[in-house]
Amino acid sequence: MSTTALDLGALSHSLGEKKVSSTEATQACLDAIAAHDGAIGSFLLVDAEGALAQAAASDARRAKGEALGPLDGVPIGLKDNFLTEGLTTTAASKILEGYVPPYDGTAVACLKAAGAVLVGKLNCDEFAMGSSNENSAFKPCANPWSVAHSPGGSSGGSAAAVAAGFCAGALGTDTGGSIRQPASFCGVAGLKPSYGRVSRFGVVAFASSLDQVGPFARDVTGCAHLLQALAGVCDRDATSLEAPVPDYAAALTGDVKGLKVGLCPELLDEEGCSDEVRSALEQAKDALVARGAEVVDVHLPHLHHAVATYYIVATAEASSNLARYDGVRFGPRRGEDGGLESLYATTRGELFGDEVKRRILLGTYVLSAGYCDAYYLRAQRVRALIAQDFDKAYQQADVLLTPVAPTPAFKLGEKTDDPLAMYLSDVFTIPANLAGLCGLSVNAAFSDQALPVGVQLMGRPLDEAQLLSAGFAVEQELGLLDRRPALD
Amino acid sequence: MQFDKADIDKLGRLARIKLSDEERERLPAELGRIVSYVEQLQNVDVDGVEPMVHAGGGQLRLRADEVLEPVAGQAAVRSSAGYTPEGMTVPKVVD
Repeated sequence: MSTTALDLGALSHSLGEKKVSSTEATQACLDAIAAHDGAIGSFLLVDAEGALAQAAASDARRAKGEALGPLDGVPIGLKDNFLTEGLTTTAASKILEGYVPPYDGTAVACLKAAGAVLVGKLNCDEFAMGSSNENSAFKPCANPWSVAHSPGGSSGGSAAAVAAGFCAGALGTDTGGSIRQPASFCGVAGLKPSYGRVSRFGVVAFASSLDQVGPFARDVTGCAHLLQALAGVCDRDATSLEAPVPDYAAALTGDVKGLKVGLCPELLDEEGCSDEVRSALEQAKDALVARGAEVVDVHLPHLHHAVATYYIVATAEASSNLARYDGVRFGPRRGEDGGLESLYATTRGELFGDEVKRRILLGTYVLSAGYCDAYYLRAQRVRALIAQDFDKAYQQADVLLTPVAPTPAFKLGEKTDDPLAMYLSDVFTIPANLAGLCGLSVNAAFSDQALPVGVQLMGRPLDEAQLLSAGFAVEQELGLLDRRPALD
Repeated sequence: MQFDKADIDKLGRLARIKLSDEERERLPAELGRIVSYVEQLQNVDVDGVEPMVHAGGGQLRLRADEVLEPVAGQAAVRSSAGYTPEGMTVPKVVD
């Protein structure tokens, strides 16, 4: 069996037992990428030379008995909005084409300190704006389970690469669901940690009050190992939290006896879920009940305003964060001959994609004079109401169980004509970002078309240990981890 | 909410984005639909509710005002399209 078929934990164990070397495992990933990523398009940049050098260094450490931990020698991919010193970082945008950062972001530095082998940079929606990876300025990304279908977004490349076995784990970012939704579409585990749990320093900012860095792996155990390396306070991110970091892998007991699992009936009724999604939710619920959990109803009266709230807050913050892309300091420029205003407007007009421009203009509108109170300030108040709803819900439940998306993966091209329809499909994932909660997507079923269907568990802020344990229980009970996509 | 081309042009100027004719045709309806959707928040009772800026409760950690490891000058500007060893070139700003 190729090492690319191993889950992160199993690969880590094999490395520890010296059944396989990091060089062998990394080469197997590179071979798989060379053989199959042409049809999928998950990687924007493969750093074969760098990865093999890191793998050799890992093997040398291990030979001396100096392995750094469970991630030492494990091949990992990075969404292309993580700044990597010396490796291009484009956020899948033409406006950052060729940009080489002069430093590593904190999450990248954490993985390097843990000895992980960084295989390359993964495809995504431009500036993390999108739910299908169709907004990448460079190339589309397909779902390894069916190349006619979207891998989800915005971290589509990360989810696809892990599902296809091109790397044992990956990092993504999640602002409105961009880890959890592609994880669901690609049948892997994806975690959005609580806001402030992982440093955002050195991540291309989209919406600073919503963005969060998180892991993908085939299973919850892999996510736990990655989170362990990433979690903690960072001097360079003033929003990162000083809260202690528990042992996440040790928390994966699968024991959910007495765990109160909250279901929100109104959410399901309102949001047009497909039968397959409802069925997956039932199976996840039954799995938890079989292991001793109790189900309670919770009510989140303001949740149906979450998408509207998000598309005001996130676009406002994006319009501010993306103001720095003016052709002066990073990447290519256009219109320089026309003077400074022309440099700014032409560079941004020609090098930003349609979705990015749409969101910047929306954000500009909701912040503009005369409208800021009516839109942005009001949205922040509704955000507070949504967070209060969750506070009350968590007095009755320990974790909440919801769908991740209304349907399994949709076909590429199916939603590109209707931006609003695409936005509405984020209805289940957006609330966790607004309230700062942790959220986990685990695979719970396969549709009639053999597409994965995930379910979401949401936990209280900083309750990742309990959340991961509940996800582990679902995963173990449902027994779907052995299925792999057939790659061309 | 309805936008016309003049509204879009104004937003383009504020955002420093030069819009094509195709975008000026398309965007009024597109943005109009999205803004009409988000306007549902006008009907929410927010009396007495403080705005939520971010999930950390609005508290930001401070650190001592000390220089940390700086980013090397050349490395920081090397990716500029206007890079020269002396710094970045830009169009003339002051006459």
